[in-house]
Amino acid sequence: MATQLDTEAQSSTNDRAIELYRLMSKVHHADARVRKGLSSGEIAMSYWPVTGQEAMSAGAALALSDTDQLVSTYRGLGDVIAKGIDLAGYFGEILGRRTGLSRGKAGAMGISDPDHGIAWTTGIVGAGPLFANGIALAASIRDTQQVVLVSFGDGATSIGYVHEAMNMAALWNLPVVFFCQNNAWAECTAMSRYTRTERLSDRAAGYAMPGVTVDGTDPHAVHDAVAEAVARARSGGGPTFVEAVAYRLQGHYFGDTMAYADPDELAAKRADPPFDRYRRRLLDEGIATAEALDRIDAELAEEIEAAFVAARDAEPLGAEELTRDVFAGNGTELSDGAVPRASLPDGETEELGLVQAIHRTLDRAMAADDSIILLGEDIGDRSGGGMFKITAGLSAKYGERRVRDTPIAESSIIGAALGASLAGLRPVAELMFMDFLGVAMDQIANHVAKVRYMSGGRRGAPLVIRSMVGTAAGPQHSQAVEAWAMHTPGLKVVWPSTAADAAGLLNACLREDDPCLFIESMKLYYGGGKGPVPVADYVIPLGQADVKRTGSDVTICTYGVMVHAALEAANALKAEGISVEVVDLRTLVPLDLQTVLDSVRKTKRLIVAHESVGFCGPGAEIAAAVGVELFGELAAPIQRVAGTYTPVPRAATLEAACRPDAAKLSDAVRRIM
Amino acid sequence: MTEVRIPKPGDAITEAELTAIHVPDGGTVTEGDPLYAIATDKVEMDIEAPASGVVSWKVEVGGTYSVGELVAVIA
Repeated sequence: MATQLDTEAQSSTNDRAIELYRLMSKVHHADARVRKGLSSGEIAMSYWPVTGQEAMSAGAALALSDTDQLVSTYRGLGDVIAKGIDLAGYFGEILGRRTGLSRGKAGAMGISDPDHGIAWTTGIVGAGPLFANGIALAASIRDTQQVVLVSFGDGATSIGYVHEAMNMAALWNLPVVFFCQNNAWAECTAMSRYTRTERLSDRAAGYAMPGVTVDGTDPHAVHDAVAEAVARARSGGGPTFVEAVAYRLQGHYFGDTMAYADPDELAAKRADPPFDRYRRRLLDEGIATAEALDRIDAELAEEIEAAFVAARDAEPLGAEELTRDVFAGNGTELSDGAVPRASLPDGETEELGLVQAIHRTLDRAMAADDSIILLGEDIGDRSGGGMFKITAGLSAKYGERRVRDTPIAESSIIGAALGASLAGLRPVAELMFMDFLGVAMDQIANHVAKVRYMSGGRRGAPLVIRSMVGTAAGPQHSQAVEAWAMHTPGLKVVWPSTAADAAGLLNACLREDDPCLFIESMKLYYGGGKGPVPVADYVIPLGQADVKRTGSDVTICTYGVMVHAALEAANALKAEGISVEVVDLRTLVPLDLQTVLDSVRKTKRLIVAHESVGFCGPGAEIAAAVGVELFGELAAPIQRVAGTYTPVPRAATLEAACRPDAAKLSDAVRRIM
Repeated sequence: MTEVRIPKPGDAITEAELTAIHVPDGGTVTEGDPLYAIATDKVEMDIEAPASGVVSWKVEVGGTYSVGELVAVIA
C-alpha cells in the first residue's frame, strides 16, 4: 500500500514527466511551424532544424533554474524555447523583423534574452564554451550561485576552442555544464568520419572533469544527467561534460535532403521520433491521458502560431537602422567632437615609462572599481607579475580572484573576458604580443566586437584588450596589426605615444561601454616612453587627437611610437627652415578626422605615417579621407611613410629597413616641399 | 683579453644600471663566477664572468650604461 510520501513522490515525478512533455511539445511544434513556413514559401530564411533533438533541449532546460544561464548555437531553437524565450521576439529575430529581440540584426545565430536566462548564442561552431566560461567566472567571483549550461553539437568537439575552454573551466572550477548534443552529424559529416573517439564524453577525462553519456532521445535521462551536473557546479564541484546522443531527423539546414545519410537508417529513425515515443510512454505508463496531452499540444501550437504570425507580419526594418548600435550612443568610426577637449591636469608630475604609467592606472582603477578584473598569461605574482612587470604586485594586492593567470590560450582569455563583461564585470585581458590577436581573432571579431550590434543595442561588451607591439623579435613577435581591428566594426582602437597619454587613455577605456583594443609599444615601455605624468588622476576621452607640435608647412599625422620619429624629423627639418606640425591621433577608432583636416587645411601638405604595413594600412584610409575633403586645397600629393610589405624580419639591418623612421619621414617631407 | 659589455636582458631594454661589482679592480675571476650586477626596468641580475683572468673595470658602480657599452676587460 502506498504511503502518503510515496504518493507525493509519485505526483512530483508525474509533474516532471508532464513538464518534460510540455517542453518537448513546445520545441516540436515550434520547429514544425518554422519548417512548414519554409517549405510552403510563407517565409524564407536560413534555418537549422532540431527535429529529433527535442528531448535534449527539454531535459537540459528543466534541470536549470530560472536564473541559470544558457549559451547556445545557431541550431538553438530547441534550447532557447525550452529555456523560456519570449516567443514573439524570438520568431521576429530569426525572421529579421523589427519586432525581433535584437531588432532583426542578429538572426538565429545571435539570440539572447537575458530576462529569460539566455545569455548569448553563436553562429561559430565551438565558440560558445569560451565565453560561457566568462559568464561562469563572473558568477563565481560574485557568488551568485548561477550555473551556465553551454550547448553545442558533436561537431564542435573537433575544434580547439572547446578543448581549451574545458581545460580552463576545470582549472578554475567554474560552474559550467558542457552539454554536447550529439545528433550524429557534424553538419553533413558522420561522426565516424571526423573522429576515432566513440564516446565524446571520454574527452572530459583529459581535463580531470567528470564526463557522462546518456540517451538523448529520453528526456528523463538527459534531465537526470544535467541535474547532477548542475548540482555539482552549484555546490562548487566544477564543470561536467554531458553528452546526449540522438539523431538529427532533418538536414543540417532547411533544403539539405540528407542524401549523405544511409536511407534505411534515416527511415527507421524517422519512423520512431523521440517526441512520439515519449508521448506513447506517458500513455503506456498511465501518467497522462491522450486528451490531456492533446490539450497541451493544442495550447502550445496556438501560442506558437500567434507569435509566429505576428513576427511574419511585422514591419521590415528601415535603412535608418543599419548604422545604429555599432557603438554605444550610436557612435560611428569617426569621433563627433561632442566631448570637450581634454587637457592634462596641472600640478605635480612623476617621471614614468609606459610600464609604470599603465601599472599605476590599473592599480588605481582596481582600487576604485571592484568589477575590474585582469586576465592574462603570467600576469599574477606567482607567475612573475607579467612578462614586462606591468601587473607586478596586483595579484598580491587585489587577490587571485581578480588578477588571474591564465593558461596559454588566447581564445580562452578573450572568451573569459567577453563572458565576464556580458555578466557585468569589466575585464582587462592581456594578449602579450599583438601577433597573438590572430590566435583569438574569432572571439574578438565575431563575438566581442559584435555584441552591441547583434543585441540590437541592448548590451555591450565593455572590456579592454591590452596588447603590445614588439620589436627586434622577428616576424611573429613584432607585428602591428591595428588595421585588422580598425576594419572590424564595433572595436575601439587606441595607441598612446607617451606615458601621460597612456594613463589618460587607459582610464577612458576602463569607462567605455564598448570593447577597446589598447595597443602598447615595447619601444616605449621603459626609457623610450618615459616622461612626466600628472600625479592626479585624469581621463583623455577617446577620439581626440593631440597636436604634439605645431607647425605651418607640413603635417605629419601618426600615432604610437612613430610620434617620436615625427618629432625627431620635425627638429631636424627646422634647421632646414621647414615648419612641421605633428598630429598624434592617439585613438584610431573613433578617428578624430577633424583635427587632421584642421591641421592640413593650414599646412596644405600631409604625411601619414605608421609602423605597420603601408599597403592597405590605416594611412590609406586617412589619406583618402583628407583627399576627399581637401582636394582643392592641397599643395602637394599626400605621402605615406609606413612599414614595407614584408613580415618584420629578425635581422636588425632588415628590420631597420622595414620600419619607417625619422630619416624616412624627413625624406618624404623634402619630396613635397 | 676578453671584453665585457652591458647585455640586453629583454628586447625593450636599452640601458642598465651597474649596481655592484663582485670582483675588485685588479682582482682575479674564474669563468662562470659572478662578476657584477645590473638592474633594468625589468630585471635585476648577476652577470657571470665570460672568461678567467684579471679584471680591469672601465666604468663606475651606480652608473647607467647603454646596452653594448664596455664595462670591463678580463686579461
